[in-house]
Amino acid sequence: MMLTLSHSTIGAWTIIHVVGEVDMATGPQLRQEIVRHVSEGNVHIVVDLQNVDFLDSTGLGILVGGVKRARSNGGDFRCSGLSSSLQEVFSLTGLDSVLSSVDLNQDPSTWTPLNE
Amino acid sequence: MNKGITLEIPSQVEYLSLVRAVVASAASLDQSLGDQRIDDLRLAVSEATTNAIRAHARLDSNERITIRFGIDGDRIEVEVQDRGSGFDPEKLDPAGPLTDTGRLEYEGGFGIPLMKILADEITIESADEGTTVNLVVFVSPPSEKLNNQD
Repeated sequence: MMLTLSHSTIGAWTIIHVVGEVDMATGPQLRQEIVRHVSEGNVHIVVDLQNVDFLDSTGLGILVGGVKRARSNGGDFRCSGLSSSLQEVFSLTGLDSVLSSVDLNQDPSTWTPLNE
Repeated sequence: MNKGITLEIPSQVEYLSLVRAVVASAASLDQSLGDQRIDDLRLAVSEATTNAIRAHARLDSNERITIRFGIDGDRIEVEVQDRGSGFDPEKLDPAGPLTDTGRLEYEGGFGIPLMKILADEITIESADEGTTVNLVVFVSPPSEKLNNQD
């Protein structure tokens, strides 16, 4: 199972588009992509999970790491496109308390600011 | 188990998606199990199999991992068995809420709590010869069954 990654930009935000399943086999690709963008100074990141139909504890951990990396470099980290299953997992694990979801069709100025 | 399959996989992460596909397909044979419950079972089994692969990796072991799936009435049961060095499930330190100071420094700690939440029943038997995780999902969750008896 491959993970396909691409990215785009909306204003100051880098959007990482993920297609496939995120697990222990494919997760390192996503982590590497997040680390690369942060190290290049793109510290405002949204991970687009619209085309992800499976994400396990490895993937959750990578998103936690993304939140930490972005914030510790003065940025922010969000996600978008959560399926109902992913919403359930985010809620059950409390990930939704530190990682808010945004609507990529809305202007970033309308996104909820950090810590609100 | 009157309907069952057994899967034996090499201890390699590339086989995780195969395990998920087989378990989801087998569970969907029971047409009364909803998509959400199939997703729950798929994730719980994937977590157990991931832990099994990690256990073998720690020993640099080439042993295979066994996944047994069965449907018995309203009970769907999946057993994931490894030959790793085992652990004491009672001594696992909970990682704490993500809002705790410093919690974001640690990417782990989600797997076993997720299995416990997603499965209706879970048993972890671990010894020096390996670990067996038994996951059960009821076609009608126990709470619904109680309500239906009213």
